[in-house]
Amino acid sequence: MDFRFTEEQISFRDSLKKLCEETCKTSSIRSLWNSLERLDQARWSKLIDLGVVGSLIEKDEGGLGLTDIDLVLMAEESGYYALPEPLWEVALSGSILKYIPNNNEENWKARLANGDFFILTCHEINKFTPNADLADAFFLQDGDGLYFATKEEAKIIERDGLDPSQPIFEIKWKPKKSKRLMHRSESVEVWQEILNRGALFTSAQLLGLTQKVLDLSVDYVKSREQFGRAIGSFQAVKHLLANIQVKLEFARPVVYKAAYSLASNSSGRYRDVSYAKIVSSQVSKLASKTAIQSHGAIGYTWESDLQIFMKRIWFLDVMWGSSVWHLKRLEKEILSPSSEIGPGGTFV
Amino acid sequence: MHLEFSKKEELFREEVSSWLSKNLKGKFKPVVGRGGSGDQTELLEERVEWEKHMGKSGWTCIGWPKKFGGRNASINEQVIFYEEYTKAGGPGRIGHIGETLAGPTIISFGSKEQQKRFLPKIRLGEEYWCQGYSEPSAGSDLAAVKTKAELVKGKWKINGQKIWTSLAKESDWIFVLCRTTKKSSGREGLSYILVPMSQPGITIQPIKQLTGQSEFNEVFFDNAETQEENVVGEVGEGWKVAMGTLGFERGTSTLGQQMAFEQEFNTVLKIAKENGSSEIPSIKNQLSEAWIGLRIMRFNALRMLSNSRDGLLSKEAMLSKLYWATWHRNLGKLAMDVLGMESEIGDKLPYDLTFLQKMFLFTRSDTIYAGTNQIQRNIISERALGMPKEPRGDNKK
Repeated sequence: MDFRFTEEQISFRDSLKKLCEETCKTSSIRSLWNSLERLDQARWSKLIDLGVVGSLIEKDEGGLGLTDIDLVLMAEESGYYALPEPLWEVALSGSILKYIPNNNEENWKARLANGDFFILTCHEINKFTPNADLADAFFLQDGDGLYFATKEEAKIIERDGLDPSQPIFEIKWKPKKSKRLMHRSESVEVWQEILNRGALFTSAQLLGLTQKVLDLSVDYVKSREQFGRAIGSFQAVKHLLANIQVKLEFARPVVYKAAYSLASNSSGRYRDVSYAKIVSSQVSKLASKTAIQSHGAIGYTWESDLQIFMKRIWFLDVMWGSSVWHLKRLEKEILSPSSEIGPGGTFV
Repeated sequence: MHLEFSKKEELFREEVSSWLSKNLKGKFKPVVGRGGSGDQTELLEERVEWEKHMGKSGWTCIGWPKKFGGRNASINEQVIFYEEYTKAGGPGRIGHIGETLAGPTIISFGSKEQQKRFLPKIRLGEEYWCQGYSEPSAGSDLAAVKTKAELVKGKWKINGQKIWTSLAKESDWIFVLCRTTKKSSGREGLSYILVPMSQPGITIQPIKQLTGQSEFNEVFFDNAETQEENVVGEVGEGWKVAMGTLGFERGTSTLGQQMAFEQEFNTVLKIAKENGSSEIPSIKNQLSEAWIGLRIMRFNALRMLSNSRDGLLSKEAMLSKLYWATWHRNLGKLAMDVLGMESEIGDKLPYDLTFLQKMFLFTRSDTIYAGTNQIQRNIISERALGMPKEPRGDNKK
């Protein structure tokens, strides 16, 4: 029993942190809003060099063969910088290659591992797909299975989105039998795993985002003076932020445990992931509310960087199952007549 | 206690509602339901026309005394008017700062000449007003204003900066809280001065909000001028006048605001019923809480207004801003939760948000402007409960 991360896992996280610190400043995020460029190519290349996109692909398929535990800290870190590129969505697609039979002619499996072919996975729980314009192909869900479609075979329609850093798209396509990679019966479990992993990465990013809006707020209330004092010296303000710190630290191990359950394919992984998504959503929404309150009116402006992180929080809150959806799933597990509550049951 | 309106009041209600239904149509149809939270700077020309039409017909400034062109409407009648106005989808009032802040201040503290000069134009929708209180370093701490005015040859010369000024571009006049006594600090040495907006000494810089729109502005004063007689109240007594204005801001208009809240709530409820989210226990719970909150606000507001027939607000008035701001912010989030993933989809590219998205973002400012929730709690503790004042930096040593 050891809840700590290995030195390797921490140094993997630190290398992403360094990369983001250098290349993912808020000015760089803003510059993409007004640019025809959809991607910071330099940053994206460095991210690919880091190996994250192929990290969950098995070694014998050309990937790194890492697990969710190896990645959870990195996902958290990418949230701290509100990294706009679909790093986790692409990594997620790699994680299911092992289930897909080797019958593709274009050899996209190897190209996915190398990072020169991006597949986004469109789960039915998400009504739209962020960054779909950057993908080369999609894994798509239909009543009877898991399908593959290249960007030429699917029609993507851009919609206006609340988070300017995450362009959103609807995907229209017609399922073709020849493009079906898995039948319904085989794919049910796989789609569940996709959902769990999507929710896990989302939860981890929400932790990082929460830390970020908390740090921004603490900095602000230390420097902003009213009534001749830094406003952070008023208990009404400092207690607001202390509450976030407490909730954030209590949410962290829940998300890490979910990563462990997923990596070890534990039978409790559904409820652990749901619980992680619920608590990370709760703390991040409370943090965004508190952050704007502690910034006062300046936090309501376009100019304030706070909006970048708050809007990502609200965006990720609804992705891969909202709190309401996960609460329902959790309720089923806890309230079902057959569930064993307590030691040996849900208490593990 | 009797909670029914009198026959006379019901007749007044009929008069209001029939005037609105006869007039809020035809060329005014496009403004119906527009200009509310997050929509304040839309359809300005059309809404100005509407203001003028209302003014000509005697339906602006109804609470003002008859001698200033008002109807001397009782508090109950004002409540009825605001309710019917909101029910009919009356557009957000561009003239509200003049009608509810500048006008009452001039009526209470202004000279006869000022009353003659300014009040008729406010009433007829011919001149519009904005508020010059907050500054970059004077937000919650309003008494920290630095903007200066100096009397030079019969004119005030004003230098400094105001911020978070709504409708600055649309306004003809601004009332400015500024320092007229050199080296004064805090509440001493301030004056309340009326300044024309259209002059070379004033520059307006819109502030872009996180909604993508600009409803607030920065107003820069660089040797801006106004006539010596445009001080309201005594020179150096500006704090007293400014506090009077803030009192008016929390007055009878809350009833109309609640009716607008009711309409927003109904919109959210309708969506929840349509998309099935009203079946989810946590949403159901929040919807019920919001419904209860609306009634709590309404009954408290009615009680508060009954208790303040002499025109002065009672203790309950201190509680209402905290309650409605928090309630409204919760409604904003509830709207997003009801919409689920739809809440992330905007109206049209680039960055044009839906009505509910704007409402959600706008309500984040409700708990900040006109006294943050934290300041409101201090007011309640210190003034309503009589607890010791929080130590301030300037009297710390």
